[in-house]
Amino acid sequence: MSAPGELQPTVFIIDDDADLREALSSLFRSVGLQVKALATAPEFLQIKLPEGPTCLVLDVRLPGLSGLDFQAELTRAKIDIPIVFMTGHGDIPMTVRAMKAGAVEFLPKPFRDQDMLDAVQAGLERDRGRRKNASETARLKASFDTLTVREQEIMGLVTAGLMNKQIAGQLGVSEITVKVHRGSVMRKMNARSLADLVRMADAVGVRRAPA
Amino acid sequence: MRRRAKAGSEPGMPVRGKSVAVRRRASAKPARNRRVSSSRRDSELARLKRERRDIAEQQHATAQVLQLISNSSGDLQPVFASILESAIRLCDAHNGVINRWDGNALHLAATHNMPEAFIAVRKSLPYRPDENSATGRLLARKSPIHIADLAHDPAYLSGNPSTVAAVDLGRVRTTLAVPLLKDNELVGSFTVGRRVVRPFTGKQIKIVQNFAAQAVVAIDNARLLHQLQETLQQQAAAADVLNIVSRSTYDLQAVLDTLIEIVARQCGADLAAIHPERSYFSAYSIYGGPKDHKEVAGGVAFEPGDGSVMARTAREGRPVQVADVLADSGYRLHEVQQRLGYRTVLGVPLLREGRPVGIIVLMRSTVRPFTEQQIALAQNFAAQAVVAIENTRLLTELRWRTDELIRSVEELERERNNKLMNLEAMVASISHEVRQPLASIASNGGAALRFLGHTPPNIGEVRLALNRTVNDSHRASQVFDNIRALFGKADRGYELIDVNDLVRGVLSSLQRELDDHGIETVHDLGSDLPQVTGHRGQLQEVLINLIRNAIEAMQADEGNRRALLLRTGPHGSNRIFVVVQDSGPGIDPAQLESIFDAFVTTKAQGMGLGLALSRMIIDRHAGQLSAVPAEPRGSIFRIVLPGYLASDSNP
Repeated sequence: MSAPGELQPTVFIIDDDADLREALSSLFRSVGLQVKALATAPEFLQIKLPEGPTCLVLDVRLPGLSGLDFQAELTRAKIDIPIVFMTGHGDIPMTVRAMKAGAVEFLPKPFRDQDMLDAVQAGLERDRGRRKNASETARLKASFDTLTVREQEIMGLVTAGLMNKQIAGQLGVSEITVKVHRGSVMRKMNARSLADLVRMADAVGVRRAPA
Repeated sequence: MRRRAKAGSEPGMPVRGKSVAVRRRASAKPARNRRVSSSRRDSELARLKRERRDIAEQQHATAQVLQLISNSSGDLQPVFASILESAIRLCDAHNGVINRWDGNALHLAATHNMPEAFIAVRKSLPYRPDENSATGRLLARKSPIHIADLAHDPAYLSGNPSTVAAVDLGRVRTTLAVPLLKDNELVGSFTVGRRVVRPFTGKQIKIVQNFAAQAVVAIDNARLLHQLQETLQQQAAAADVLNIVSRSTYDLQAVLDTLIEIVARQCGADLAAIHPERSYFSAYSIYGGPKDHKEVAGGVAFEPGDGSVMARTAREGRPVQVADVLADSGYRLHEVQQRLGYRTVLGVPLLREGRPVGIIVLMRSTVRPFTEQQIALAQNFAAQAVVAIENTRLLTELRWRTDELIRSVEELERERNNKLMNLEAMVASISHEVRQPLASIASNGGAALRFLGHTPPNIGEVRLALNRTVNDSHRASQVFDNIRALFGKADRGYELIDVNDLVRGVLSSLQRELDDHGIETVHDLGSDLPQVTGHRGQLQEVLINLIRNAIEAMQADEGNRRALLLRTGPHGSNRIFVVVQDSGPGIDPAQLESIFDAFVTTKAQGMGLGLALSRMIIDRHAGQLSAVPAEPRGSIFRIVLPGYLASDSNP
């Protein structure tokens, strides 16, 4: 299931019903997924999340704290993990609330085994994408850090849409100097076009608001 | 009308005012003309002429009086003055008096040419002439009295004061007194006199009698007019009362306050009150009297008897009047009488179906009995008061019944909603209970299929998954078995149960769970408790459910010491209680009742059917399950169950 060279994906289950925990664990293992089954939400907060892609299968009704509240708590704690909700008696408002808050799927019990597997795969896929984005941003950030202070400044002004002449005027340097710095920025950032550079500036957050 | 027509039907032609005025001037000195005439024929002619003049003059005077009567608005003074003046003039008399008779004394109504001294004497005291006096004789015989010389009358000679006053002060010698008769009842006297001794002629007597008849008509007219005015006033008052009665039906006090004021005014009472028969209505209204009138008279008991006018009225069931309570030997309310200062008292019962339900008491601070008419009027108002009271009672009752009806409809609605909600909660609980194993079955089945598809097939995992599937399906069918037990015949599977054993058993089965959650358990079990009859499994479910609720409540409450308290003990006579108390955050007091109706379930192994079903189970055991906040924090769930009595049928 996992791409070659990729870290093992892990599925977390939180449900206080031991029978269902075991059944789900077995189902996920049967398709080669690593499983970690927990009875309560607080236990989840105490474990360290693995490096590979993850997905959380969560019961809406938990003792003491509802699954929806736990979802909000994770968001506050900046723990970004795709969630598949299960419910014994889900109603529409509850479903809407969960989906708006970013849930992958909302499955009423009893669900079809394939629906559960599909939802978990979608969750893992989303997590892979998020991880890929995160590493891309990290790479750009590293390139950006290699720029001199003046180059970083010029990258911000160029991507804000200013012409070389304007930048020169603003910084009190010659237009030639601006051109040299700009070429250096394009090269160091490995940008193929100005549009490419604008996307990068957005990703690292240096693009200034257009004047 | 008949009477007036008779007065005006004297011989002679109807005469118009103007021509009569001319003739009267012409007849200024009839007597002298008579003496001057010598020839018999002339004298006859003169006599006829004179007679005609006299008749004309008399008719003119009569017409004048009649006009006065018809124009007067009940004021008799000018009418009497005019009648007296005309009679004196036409009969050649000097002075005269009209008296009104009230059955007791004569009252001076009009005088002509009588000296002030005489008037003063007559007005100073009620004039009750003795039988010897001229007027006394008149009163006795109801016929005219003609005395040629009052100064030689035995009454004068014997010093009768009024006769002496008439002769000495009024200078009356010849006197003629005629009675004023209405339906043969004496209503007054009409007296004319001469300062000289010269008896009146038969014709003159007839004239005086005529004028006297007119005076009676005037009196009667005035009386009718007065009555009409009174009736109108009473009608207006009655309309006022009806208005009030219909307007403010709910405020009986206001209605009766207004009513008593109107009655008092209309009947000329100085003080008045409506005393209620308290079992029928309670409003007590007064009119007039001192500030503490209400306090002073309010304490007088409403009961039949003899000591008060009220008691007598209550006893008689009809109006009772005492002309002077001070002169009444049976009267007992001396203190009240002294403080309120009444003399004449009239009691009028408020009759409902012949039974007095209240009494209107009308009082006068002087001895002055109420007339028949006033009594009748008070009775009228009493009838209206009864209508007002009855109206208020009926409306109040109607309103009360309507409220009652609304209340019971609301109650039914609430009950129905509760039942629906219980049913809803139950269905949700059941479906939740079944969905859980079904989800497991689907997952286990899916897992087994996939492990079979592995190369080589992972038979070990398949076996585990299939075993779990079998267990799950048993679990699902267990849910239905439990439900069937719950809805089966109420006492099926009932046995004698020691609640302390039950509590201990449940606690030990949950001990690990309680330890896992760091909950300290305390139990305080009463001794010598009666056993209860019931379904052991169901009662266990209820206890498990309550304890799991407590665990859940305390779990949400980080950091605090978690304590679970279980207590049992006697409740009243032959009932026992079981209390489950937690140290959690507690239940919103507003929701204490609704937690039993609303969709609340604990999600765990076993039945876990929630509070709604727990209450249902306890209800089926003829007990009560309730929740109250604990002090300083937490919740208390209390089960009360009837104890088993040896006299009960087989357990």
